[in-house]
Amino acid sequence: MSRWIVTLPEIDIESEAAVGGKTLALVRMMRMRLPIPPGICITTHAYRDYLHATGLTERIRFELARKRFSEMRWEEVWDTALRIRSLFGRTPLPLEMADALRRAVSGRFGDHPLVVRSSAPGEDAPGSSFAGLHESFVNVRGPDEALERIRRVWASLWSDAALLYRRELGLDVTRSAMAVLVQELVVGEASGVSFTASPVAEDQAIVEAVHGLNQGLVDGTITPDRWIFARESGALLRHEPAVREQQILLRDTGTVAAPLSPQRAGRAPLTNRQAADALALARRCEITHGTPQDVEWTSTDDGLLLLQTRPITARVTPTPDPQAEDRRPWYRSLTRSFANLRALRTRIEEEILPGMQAAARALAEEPLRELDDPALATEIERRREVLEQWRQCYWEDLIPFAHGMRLFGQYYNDVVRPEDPHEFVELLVGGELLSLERNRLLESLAAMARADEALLEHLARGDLAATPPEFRALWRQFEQRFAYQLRPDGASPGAASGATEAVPLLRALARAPQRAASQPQRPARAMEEAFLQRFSGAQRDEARARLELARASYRLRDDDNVYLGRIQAQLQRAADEGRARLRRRGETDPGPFSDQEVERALRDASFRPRTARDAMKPTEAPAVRPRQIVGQPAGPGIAQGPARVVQTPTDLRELVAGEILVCDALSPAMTHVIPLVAGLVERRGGMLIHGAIIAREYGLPCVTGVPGATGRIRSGQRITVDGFTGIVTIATHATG
Amino acid sequence: MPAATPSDEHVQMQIRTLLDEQRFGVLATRDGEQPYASLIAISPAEDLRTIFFGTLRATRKLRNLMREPRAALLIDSRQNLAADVAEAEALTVLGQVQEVAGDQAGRVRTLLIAQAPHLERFYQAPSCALLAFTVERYIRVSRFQEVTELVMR
Repeated sequence: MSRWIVTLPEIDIESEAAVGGKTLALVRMMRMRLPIPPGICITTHAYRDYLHATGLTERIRFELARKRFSEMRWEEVWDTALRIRSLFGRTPLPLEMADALRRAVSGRFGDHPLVVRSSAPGEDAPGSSFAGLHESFVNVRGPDEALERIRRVWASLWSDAALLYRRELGLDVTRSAMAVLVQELVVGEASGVSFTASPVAEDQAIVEAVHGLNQGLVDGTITPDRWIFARESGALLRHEPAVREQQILLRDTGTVAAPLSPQRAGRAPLTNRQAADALALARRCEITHGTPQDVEWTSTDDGLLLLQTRPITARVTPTPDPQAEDRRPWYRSLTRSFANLRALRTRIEEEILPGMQAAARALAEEPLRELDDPALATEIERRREVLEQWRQCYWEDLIPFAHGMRLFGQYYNDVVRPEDPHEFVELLVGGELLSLERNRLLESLAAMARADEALLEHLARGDLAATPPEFRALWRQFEQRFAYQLRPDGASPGAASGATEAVPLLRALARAPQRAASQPQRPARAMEEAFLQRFSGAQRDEARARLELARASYRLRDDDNVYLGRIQAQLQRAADEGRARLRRRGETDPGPFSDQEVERALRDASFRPRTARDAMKPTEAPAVRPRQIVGQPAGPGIAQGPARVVQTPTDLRELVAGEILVCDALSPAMTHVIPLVAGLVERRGGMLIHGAIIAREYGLPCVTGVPGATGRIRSGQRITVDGFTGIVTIATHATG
Repeated sequence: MPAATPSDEHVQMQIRTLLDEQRFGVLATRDGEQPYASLIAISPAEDLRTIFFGTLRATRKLRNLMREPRAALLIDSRQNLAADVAEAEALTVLGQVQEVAGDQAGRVRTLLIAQAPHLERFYQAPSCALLAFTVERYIRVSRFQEVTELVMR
């Protein structure tokens, strides 16, 4: 027994602060003579000494203090967790500690494969419902890998989920700590989970079981057989067999899902008698702990082996709902597995995006002029519903798919351990983004206009016949695919063709120095090669598949905005038709009417919206003047220039080349001005959001997650965007 | 006021100790006629002739220093206790500030990072200017009113 390492039999029942809840629960059951795999616990003292000796305490504190948590979006919390995780990954153990742990692991377990599990003090207390915040690893080989995993378990004390629930957990740099349980891996014939009380029906108990290891059951990739018992009498009520297809197997390190042999698939993983034994095991845990338990076990030739026991409340998680007041369950639901994301990708590419395109096309083809007023009102209403339906889909499937980038980021950092935890983004850029395609079309048009200024005059007059055929062809292509995006919604009802919006933009682009987004053939290729070289055989294929998925995630997360924009534009088209009719009817300025207001006015001639829209008014300048605002560095570089604060898309018209764009959230309807701006500041935070992605493509200095950006910065103020440190400085003197 | 010379090892050691113990100092710069004070993290060189620090390029203190390199720095050991009057030491440092460049920048960056590893990303940022405060004179105050000067050149 040492300060850092204790074997399970040595553990004192009073020592939860040192060994954590998971370890202690097992030790209690071991004292009741229940069989558990042999193991050791790396105490919280080891965690604390590591943090102290390496200076990590100060680094974590610094990361957490950067920005108020209440002002962070979930993406920023995730970025913070990634940075902290990377600190652990890059900070080796002090030599003395590494020696002691290595000796303990190899002395105790030899070459035997291991499980390395988190055991945080307080995590399994009855009433706490925070299962799955921390990491655990199955099939860890050898002391070096074990030491690595131990650090990763430590880092998971600061996981994104833990940071979201930091208040409930009392997460604190100086007080919080993590113990790690290292045990022999036992591969049973069958494994499962027993619930002494069913989370859905209190008078029942449940046993779930799968063939082989129970990792797939626990993370939800494999459907288990279930046995339902009466909680009181213990009588078996029914057995619900599963469609048995896969089991979890060991590979060199870690685990993999593989098809079941026909014989195994054909029979249940347990007999009814064995299922009853699995419940009896869990019952003993419940008696010792005094509350219903959720118990993991594995079945060997020598009988059942207890792997984990914890209070059952940990299993009940609220339904994820993006509209709920507490959005955290939804945020947590965004953390998806690789397999889940792969399936999601297929659905997005084969169903959702084609569906969105088809919907937009169908709406575009409908002749609106032929409808009478009430029918047009109904059409506006219908289009709003169509948009709402796709928006729902956007929340449910498209936003979660963004996790593909994050998942890859962790994977990349674990392998490469780069100095910059967001280096992986370099590997993702350069794919074909729709926003960039549009900007390239605009740039080609601008290049022609640069040579011949009269072109834009013709375009402004709608006299396309006067322009040369290649310009005309490009313009048609642009108009058809993207012009609707230039229309600030509801601002200028007359601008049906897009030319009114595009001409000033093209003029500005023609005058500004040419700026192009990066081309795909960048050092990314060499980086990719170097990354893949780190793997061999099947693992290289997996690495490649993960990278591929991340790239799709990166590309789609930008494109989906564009597709959704097309449907929105079709709602707008119907509303514009309504506005035109209202104007003919004598309404002086129906421009600012919302689509709902247009719809009502079409149905009811006496309807007048009560208020002009004053919500769009810029916020009053605060009396306290901000001088430096801290956000997140999202695009490296430094830029200085006058701010152009964009509250509504119409404000974009005033943008002058060389200004710094300050906005709430850069939407695809705004990115066409990016080639003109010197830098980008955004209230919405995160390293992987649309604005950050586009800024990186253009090599623009960019700071995101700037609290109150559009209210605290005023147009015309000279600001400095420091994309290296994530700081925006506002000059006090007009002269700088 | 007892004057000291650089050969006075005892005074030098006291100054050395205070500089090593303290992580922060208050830097005074000037914007035209207007003095301007700011809190900075410091890292003294071995020979007491230079004190290094870093600041972002967009800051007011850097702008002031570019116009007027002469500056003052206050480093002290107060703990916000009544006893500070008698027990705390204060060191007023007078001199000039220049940006460090070239090979020296790498060495200075390493020194600053060693002192405050959690600020590594800040010091590494290309937008962070690394500065050397060249000391001309130390004025050490102890025991409330005991003042000693150490002239460096």
